Amino acid sequence: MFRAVFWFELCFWLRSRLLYSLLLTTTGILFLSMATQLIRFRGPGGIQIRNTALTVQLLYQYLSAAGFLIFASFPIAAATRDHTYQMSEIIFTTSVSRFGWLLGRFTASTIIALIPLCGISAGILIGSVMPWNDPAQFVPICWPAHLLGLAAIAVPNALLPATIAFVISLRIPNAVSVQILLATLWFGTDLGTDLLRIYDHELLAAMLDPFGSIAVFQQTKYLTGAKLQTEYVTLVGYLLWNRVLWLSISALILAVGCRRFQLTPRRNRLAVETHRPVPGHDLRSFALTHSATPAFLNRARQLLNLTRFEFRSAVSGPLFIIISGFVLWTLAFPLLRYETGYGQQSLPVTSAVVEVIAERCRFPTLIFIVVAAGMLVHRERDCRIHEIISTLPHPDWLFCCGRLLAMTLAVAMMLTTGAVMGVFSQLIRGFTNLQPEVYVVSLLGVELLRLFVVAVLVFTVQICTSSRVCGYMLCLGNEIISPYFISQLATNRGLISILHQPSLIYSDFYGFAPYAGGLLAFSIWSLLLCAVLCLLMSLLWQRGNDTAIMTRLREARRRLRGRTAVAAAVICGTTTLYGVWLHTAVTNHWDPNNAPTDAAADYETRFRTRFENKPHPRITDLRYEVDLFPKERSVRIRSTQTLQNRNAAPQAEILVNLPSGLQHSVRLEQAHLLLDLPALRAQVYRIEPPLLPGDSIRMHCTSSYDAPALELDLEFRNLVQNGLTLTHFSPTIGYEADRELQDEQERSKRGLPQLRPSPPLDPDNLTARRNHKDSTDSDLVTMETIISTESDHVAIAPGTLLRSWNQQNRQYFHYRLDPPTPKAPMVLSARLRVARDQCNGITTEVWYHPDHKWNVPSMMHGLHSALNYGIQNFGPYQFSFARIVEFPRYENHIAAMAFPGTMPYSEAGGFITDIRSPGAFEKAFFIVAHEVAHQWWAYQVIGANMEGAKMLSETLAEYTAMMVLEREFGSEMVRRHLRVAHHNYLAGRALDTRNEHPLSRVRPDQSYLCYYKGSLVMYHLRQLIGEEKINAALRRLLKKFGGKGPPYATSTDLINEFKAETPAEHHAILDDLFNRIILFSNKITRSDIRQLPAGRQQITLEIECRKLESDEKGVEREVPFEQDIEIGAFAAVDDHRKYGAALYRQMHRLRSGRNTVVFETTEIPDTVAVDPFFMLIDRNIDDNVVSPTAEP
Amino acid sequence: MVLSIENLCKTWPGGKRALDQVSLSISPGLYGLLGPNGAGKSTLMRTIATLQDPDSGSVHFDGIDVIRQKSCIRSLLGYLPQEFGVYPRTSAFALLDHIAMLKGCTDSRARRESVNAMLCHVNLYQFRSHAVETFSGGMKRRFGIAQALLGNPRLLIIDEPTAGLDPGERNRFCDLLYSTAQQAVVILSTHIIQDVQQLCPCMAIIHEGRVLYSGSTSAAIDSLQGKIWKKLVPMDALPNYQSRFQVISTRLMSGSTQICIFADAQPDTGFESCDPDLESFFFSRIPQTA
Repeated sequence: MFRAVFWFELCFWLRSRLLYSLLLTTTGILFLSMATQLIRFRGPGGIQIRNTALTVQLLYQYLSAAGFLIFASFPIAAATRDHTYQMSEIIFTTSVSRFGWLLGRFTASTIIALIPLCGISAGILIGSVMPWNDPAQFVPICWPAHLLGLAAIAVPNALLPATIAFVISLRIPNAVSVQILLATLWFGTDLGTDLLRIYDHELLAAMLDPFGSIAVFQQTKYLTGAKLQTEYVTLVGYLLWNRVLWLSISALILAVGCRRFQLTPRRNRLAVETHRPVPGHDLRSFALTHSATPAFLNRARQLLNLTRFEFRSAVSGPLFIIISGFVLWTLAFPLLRYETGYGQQSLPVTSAVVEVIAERCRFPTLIFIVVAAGMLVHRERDCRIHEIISTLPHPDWLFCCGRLLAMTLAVAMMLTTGAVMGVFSQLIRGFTNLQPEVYVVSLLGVELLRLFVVAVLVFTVQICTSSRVCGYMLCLGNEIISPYFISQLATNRGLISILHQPSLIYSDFYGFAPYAGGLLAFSIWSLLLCAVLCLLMSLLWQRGNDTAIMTRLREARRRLRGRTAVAAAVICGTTTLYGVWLHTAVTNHWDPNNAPTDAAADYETRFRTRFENKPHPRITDLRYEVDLFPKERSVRIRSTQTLQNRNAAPQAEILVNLPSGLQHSVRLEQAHLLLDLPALRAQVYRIEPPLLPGDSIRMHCTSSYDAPALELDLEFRNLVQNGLTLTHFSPTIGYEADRELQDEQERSKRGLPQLRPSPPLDPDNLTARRNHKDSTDSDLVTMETIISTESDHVAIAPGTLLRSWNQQNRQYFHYRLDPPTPKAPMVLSARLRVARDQCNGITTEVWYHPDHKWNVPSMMHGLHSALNYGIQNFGPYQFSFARIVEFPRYENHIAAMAFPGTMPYSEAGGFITDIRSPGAFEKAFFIVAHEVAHQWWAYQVIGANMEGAKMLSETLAEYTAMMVLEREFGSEMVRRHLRVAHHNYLAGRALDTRNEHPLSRVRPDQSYLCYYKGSLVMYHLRQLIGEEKINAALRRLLKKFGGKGPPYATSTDLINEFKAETPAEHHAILDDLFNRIILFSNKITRSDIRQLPAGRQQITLEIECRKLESDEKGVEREVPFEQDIEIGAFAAVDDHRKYGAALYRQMHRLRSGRNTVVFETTEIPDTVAVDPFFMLIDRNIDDNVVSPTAEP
Repeated sequence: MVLSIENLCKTWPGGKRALDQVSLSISPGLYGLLGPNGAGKSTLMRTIATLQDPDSGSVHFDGIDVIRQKSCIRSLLGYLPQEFGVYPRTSAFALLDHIAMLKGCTDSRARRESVNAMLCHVNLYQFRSHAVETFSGGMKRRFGIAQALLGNPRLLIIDEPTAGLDPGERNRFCDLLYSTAQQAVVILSTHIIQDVQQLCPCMAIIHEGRVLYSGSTSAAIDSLQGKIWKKLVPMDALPNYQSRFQVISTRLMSGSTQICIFADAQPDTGFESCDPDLESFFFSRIPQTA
């Protein structure tokens, strides 16, 4: 019996087009991703090779997890087919056995479901042997990886949803409901495992994640360079147990489901008919009275009625209920515990809450739209009522428009639910500044419009294809392909893509103001395009039984007559006119193809040989007169820069670079313009007579910017009505290597040589040490800034405020920066409030948005603590003022910056961190301390423009901030920072596409080194030699280089100072820390407790130690070692800490290989750990900590 | 007010001719369409109901080109397909109200009255708040009739109306149809030949896409007066008779078989003349199905 059912089912599916189209799609996508540029899957660690073993496996992993609904659809169909096609009464009354039927159907349909997965390997294998491929991007085929990917990753991943779907559909014979239920389950587990990871139960999460992605991630995380090309995931450890667990669960579900199933057809509940006398009616009343109102009003009423009807049925359907439930579930956690890294929360400010809601709702609402569109467009056909409805005399546009509206309303309802949740979460966290207008504009305006546009597109696709599966496939394909196409279209001519909504960043400073016009103009444009699509939809809306495309086109032509034709002409005409207007009259900033890259290449070819090594005069003094017009988003700057020839030879030719965006007009005294290249934003001047050594000339420049009346996407997000900020706005001189084309592929296409790395670390390279890392045209400069702005604004620039006055209803501010510092011009204008204090004779200020007063005391605290620490331990602070200034959140990734004495701090950063809860990480404090530290470690000791420069600024700033943090809040707080740094370093090095360097040779792009490895290394050093010795070394460095011009400091100078303070026996460790890439792999393999008399416990640990040295490509080799490493034993945790009270902490000398450590404690420890506070950079810190077992 | 169908042709993609030069002229009143399964009745009805375009030929109703002016004809049309489903979780009243709205009645109070009246007429008033999907076959059929009759259509196309109705309901329905037919063209397709004989003054027989007969029902029956003969024969003699005569029907009667044959004169002794009915006419035209 099983065989008959099995073969029938198998043959049934082998005849279906769905199977082959899926197989073809998978193969096609993978083929395209290998053999073309059309689709690119980001390889692990961003490596360029396309078919590494790991990529293959990750693709299996990703696609098998992402396509779970597709695999499920085969068993669902197999389980529900008899019911759907009303065959069950016939089938179930035959002599088929229960298990024959169940297992035959299940096995055959599951085998079929696995076939499309084979397309992954097929696509990769075919795609990777295409003759046009670049051989550098491919490695030989690794068969075990393919096999393991399919058998160990993909097959179990597909089996689980297939089993669950099959078992559920035996009880609920409705494919859509089952699919939605399955999706909900999937999202639920996804969220659940995410939560486990957030709460540090990574390994439990790895076991419980049904798709094994966390287990795979466990095996592959932190892999670097060389290993990424050769390693692949094997069936060991957590992955093995995960697979065993979930295969057993699948088997169990199947067994239970089959046991409970009975071969009885399911019947619908029927209304019981009872005969009752009926009131008589006269036949006339069948006539429907058509109201005498005008036709258009009638149509409008019909539309309204239909929308209401469809809306009611949509929101009472299972799809809406399940997806809304999911939205609530997915929002509950982030809204109630809104986290931003470091495990600490942000205050629920409305803009942040709205962002969470919009982000979390986007995916479920998209799913809703795609699925619901498929159901709504084909609803009549699905219900088999189409023959009746089609013959009714409604206009053709009625159904598509009414349903679109109903669906949009349903989406609006979901978003409103989200908004209500948001308000609720704000209120229960005691936050009452609710800002309803932000909710309305962001969610029901911008977000709803975006989703509406998607809905229109999806509807169009569904109507045009006239087959739901085709429509879904197209939407899915669009999901994969469109990011590519849309980014292409968006960069070239963004207007064509109606999905490319201009970005919008709300800020409490300026609200939506700078974006409003552009957004409105674009919204009208996308609505007009939607109207065109609606027109198309109503022409193609299927009303008969003929689905042939020619018939539908003929019908569409027939419909396009009379009033419809007029409406079509009006819509298309308006859209065209508006589009032309938008393209020509409204400013937008989509550059023509390749223009910026061409300009960069041109700049390099023209000027590199001519100017790169040519000494230029240095800027010594800057004077700015800046007029800011925030309301108009306009700027006028008159700058005067003094240039001095500090070289031995006279100088005649000067290259002047103009910053982008602004209009500049430069006048150089005693010089004439030799060459002006506006496209390159570069000018060459000849000074006559040549500038003699020691002489100075002045360069005057008038720069201006006026924001266009209407801008689609803002060219300058920082020019806003309140919180206007400008940096780097004046011309620079000399060749700027930063401007060179950075993309190696583009470079080789244009025949440019390979990009040069930044100058290697070489303390003897005095030419390179002539320049510091931030600027190549100046050393230390004095600066004077006069700013005028609107009368209720405060304008801030680095320097002491000399005077402020009002003139012609404008407020003027005069700042002077003294002593000379590295060039860092900045101006800011906003309506701010100030908190002022004094510290060591320095005026300290925190300028903040009146609504954001929560963390001002904490920031002031940070400011004072860091100043005190610096002055006590390093040396004097150079200015009479120190100020923190809040700036709007237009660049979300920038938390804070440091200018001389002036530290802009983002609205989205520490100003909204929630530090109210006990044990919260003091992020606001920490970042302030970091930026204050830069006043010494960037503005006094200045790194030379070569590798290692960032170690002098960022690493030392991190060190200072950690020390200040430890002094104020204790070492537990620092350890929390170190845990994050440990992860960020290992994850960062795995993503580095170029070589990893040792810390002393950190490149400017290696933030993960200078911040995170820097933190770990400095804390280790401080444990090794002590804070006082480090500070003594730093004081000497400061004495040598502080506030001095070239030659600038190098990381070698710093390390030499450290070396002088370090006992000789630790020099090897010092070398490990700064000059090598060293990783440890320590692991407790056994831990026993033995009871001793008098209540003492003897603990025996077996520890396996390995020390690995990685080369820059990531190839690791083990090196023997012998070093003191801390061993600790801790009591049970009683609060948010990682460990409880320390019962034992002692350094033990450990060496490579197996070590045995025996020590005694007074209590039974809860956990024992080797290197408990991660002083060493351990590849896997999870196995450093275990709970000891009592000896029998 | 005449529905005129001229030279309607439709060929399915497989090459099967569904309609082959069909021409009919239908005046107000009930008009029956008879034909075996797959004869093309439903195709013809769907074509008139604007659901399908023919390959060639034309359909006009009261000066309206049915194929080109679909929206005009739809406002005069009532259509009950042979099989239909309903929206899930929707009550009889809500669905009928929805349909009335789509038929153009936007005044909600007037619509409610008409819909309730209609539900009374088809004896579903007490189920108006039940979901239609839970209705039994007969109730659903009545619901279908209700939606077709709603709005007093001038062209009513009804496919298999009485299938599944109990005798009482069938009579009620026939009355309803009869009164509607006073002011409308009503096309009725059915397998139940008695219905046509009872109700329809005019009719057509369609077979394999071709019209075999169109015209008055009584004339059709009259044309067979004295040409139908019946005889009781043993079962095993049947093939013999079938080869010799045009047998139009056979019927088992207490162990033997009564055969009816079509012949101009008495063919044989033992045959006796019997009164023709529409069924004999039907089978005399479609001999091979006997």
